[in-house]
Amino acid sequence: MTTLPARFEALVGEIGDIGRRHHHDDLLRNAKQNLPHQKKTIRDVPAPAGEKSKSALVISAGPSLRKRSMLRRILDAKYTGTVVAIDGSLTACLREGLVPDYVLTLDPHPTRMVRWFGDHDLEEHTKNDDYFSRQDLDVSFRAKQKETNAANIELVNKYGPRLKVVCASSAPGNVVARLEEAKCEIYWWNPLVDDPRAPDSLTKQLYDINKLPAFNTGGNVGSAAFVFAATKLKIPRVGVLGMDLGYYAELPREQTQTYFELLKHFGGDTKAIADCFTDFKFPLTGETFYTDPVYFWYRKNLLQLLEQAPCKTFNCTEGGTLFGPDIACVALEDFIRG
Amino acid sequence: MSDNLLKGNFKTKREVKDAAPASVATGAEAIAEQLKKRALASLGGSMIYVDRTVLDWDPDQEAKKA
Repeated sequence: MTTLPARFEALVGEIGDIGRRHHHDDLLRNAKQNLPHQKKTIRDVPAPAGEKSKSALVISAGPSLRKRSMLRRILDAKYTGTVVAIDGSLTACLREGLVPDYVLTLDPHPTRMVRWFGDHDLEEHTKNDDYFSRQDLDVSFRAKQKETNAANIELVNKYGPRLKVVCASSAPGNVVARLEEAKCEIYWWNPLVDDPRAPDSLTKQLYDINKLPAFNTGGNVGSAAFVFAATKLKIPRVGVLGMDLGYYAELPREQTQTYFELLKHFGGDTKAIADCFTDFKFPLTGETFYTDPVYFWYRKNLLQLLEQAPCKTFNCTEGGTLFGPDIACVALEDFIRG
Repeated sequence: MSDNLLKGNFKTKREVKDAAPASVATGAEAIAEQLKKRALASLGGSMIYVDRTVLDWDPDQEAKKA
């Protein structure tokens, strides 16, 4: 990685505050709305036993998941540890025949998140919103939105009664309704969003509403899933995959999730936008990947969380930008073999 | 102009609302500000932020341990 341009660092520094301002009201409102649905909390999650207690794979939804056929390889390797998926990787897992032990969901977005569980109002929700057309994971969805959505509804309904969904109090009403419709078992928690002992703490306000325990999210559901495996399931050996936190070098900048937002942010200044993408060489393969400020922020947060993690952590993504002193990069099969 | 000068000794038929504060931008400046906010919101829109000091917090468990 080269030295970061000043405006890149400035923008990364702003992201936490942007999120805080952007989500403050949603978090409180959703926590209140979700209160009548709270039957179990993450305190009620049964401790994993046997092989399931020895290791966990946390499956995020980065492009490597598909490109490197990760889900098929987990099945071929007959992995017997705990599988923790996130909302964005759930239907990909189910389609492949891999039923996760837990599924995490966090984001309060009122129209986008429900799509991960199959959206009854897809047409309405995707009007004027190209967010998913810029997602790498589910390419089939771009071409056949209606058919894929219908298949996802069916899949989630079929496997719902077997799914333990670890659902943040920030989840929007339509996601909760879908989980209940599919008869998933829901375990509730609060996102730890600031110092709960500070006066005016938002985390404390959430606790005062629902009395739920909180854990750190690192800014995204994939990192939250890792924290859940490490601190709530207390699994001593955790591998993350699909955790690219960046883009493959061949992907044009214009197709990244934040390009148009950056274009608007910098008033069309292409030099400024070029500064917002930073290259990384993945140590295991020497391949080059790049990040935008948002992925860079996620990466920075996760590396900080890893310093405190009570487990050994392995990055089995086989690419991307996530590497550092507290995470070993290994091939997926090497992690599974132990 | 002093606010006191405008205070009447009668009630108006319709409720009089305060004008927008002087700090609220208008016209092109407001549109630019709005666009910036929208762009920033999109950048931060898919995430919950993080506190970097602890991994988890459960006052109920802490109370039980104490």
